[in-house]
Amino acid sequence: MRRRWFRSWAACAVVLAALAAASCGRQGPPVLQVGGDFTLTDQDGKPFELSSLHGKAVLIFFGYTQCPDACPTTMSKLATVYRELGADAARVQTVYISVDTKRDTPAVMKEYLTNFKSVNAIGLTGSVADIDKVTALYGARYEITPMPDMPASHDMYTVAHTTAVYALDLDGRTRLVFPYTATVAEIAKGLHEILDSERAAAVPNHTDGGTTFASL
Amino acid sequence: MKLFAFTLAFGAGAALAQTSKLKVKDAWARMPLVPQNNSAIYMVLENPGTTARSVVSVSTPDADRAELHETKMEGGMMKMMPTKEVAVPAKGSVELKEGGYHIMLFAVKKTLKPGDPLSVVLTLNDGTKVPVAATVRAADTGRGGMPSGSGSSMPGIK
Repeated sequence: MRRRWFRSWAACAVVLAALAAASCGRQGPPVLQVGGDFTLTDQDGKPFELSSLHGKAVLIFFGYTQCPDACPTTMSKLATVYRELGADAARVQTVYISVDTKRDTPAVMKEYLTNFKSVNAIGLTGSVADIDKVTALYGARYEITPMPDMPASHDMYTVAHTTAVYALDLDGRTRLVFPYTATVAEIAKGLHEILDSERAAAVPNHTDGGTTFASL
Repeated sequence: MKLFAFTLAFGAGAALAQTSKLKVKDAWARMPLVPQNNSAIYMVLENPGTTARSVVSVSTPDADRAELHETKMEGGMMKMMPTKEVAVPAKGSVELKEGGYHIMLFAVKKTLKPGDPLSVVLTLNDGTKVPVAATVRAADTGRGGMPSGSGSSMPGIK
């Protein structure tokens, strides 16, 4: 009696585990409330709509080209992420949005991004109003910080800013927000989860959870 | 003891002996990224001596200006600001690293390529000057987020 109970419980647990694993694989990380579509100007001076990237996983980062430390460190980390992704790298597009509207022209963005060829990012700029709209959408923030005792000729200031990297699914929905301290492995794993869930969704048998699990 | 007396007798010799007490390892500079030609220099400072030391200023012949900076998370934002000193405890070490302390160079005057040296002079709290040659690395080396010291196989300082 007791043994039978155990057996059916174990069988149930196996099914539950399979269900959980399969449903995670299918849905990927939950959709977050931040994010949304926007239009800015790309590094060639052309209008760019985020929605044009549908079909790819997207990484969004807010930074500025004269950022000496945090931004190149993040870009360098993303370069390693791309190498880790292997074949999946072609399915991920990074978008670098400048929060330094005064100094970061499309031409400056273009030159800056040549330093990070393996990331192959799209560099976006815009008016203060345009950028503020996008940072508000994503819950990103920035603050122009004058530098003490710099010669006026240098027009020197730094920009304090949030350094999260947002990972969007193939439909442009934000799925993950990586903090500055996220490792290469964590970011690569998150992207694989997003891409795997889309792959699973693309297999007809898995589009309907009910029939899939009835066959178990 | 003899050596001690010797260095006391010769000022220059004394400065040299002091310099050797602060070891600089893995000094590297990020390739300037935009026409403004700013760069950041990172390194490991080791203090095998029994006296705590600190770096109180930096200078360079290779750029318009050099400053000791620290990147800090403040109110959820990464902020870079000048810092007065970087302390190196006795029998200890400190790392100038990405996302932390670094030497910020404004308007590097040379055209650089990876592997080139950038000179910077650290001034310690006792007035000692420590010259450092930092090796320029491409920004895209993928070192970001890697554990410190992973670059030790890179061509080091001369």
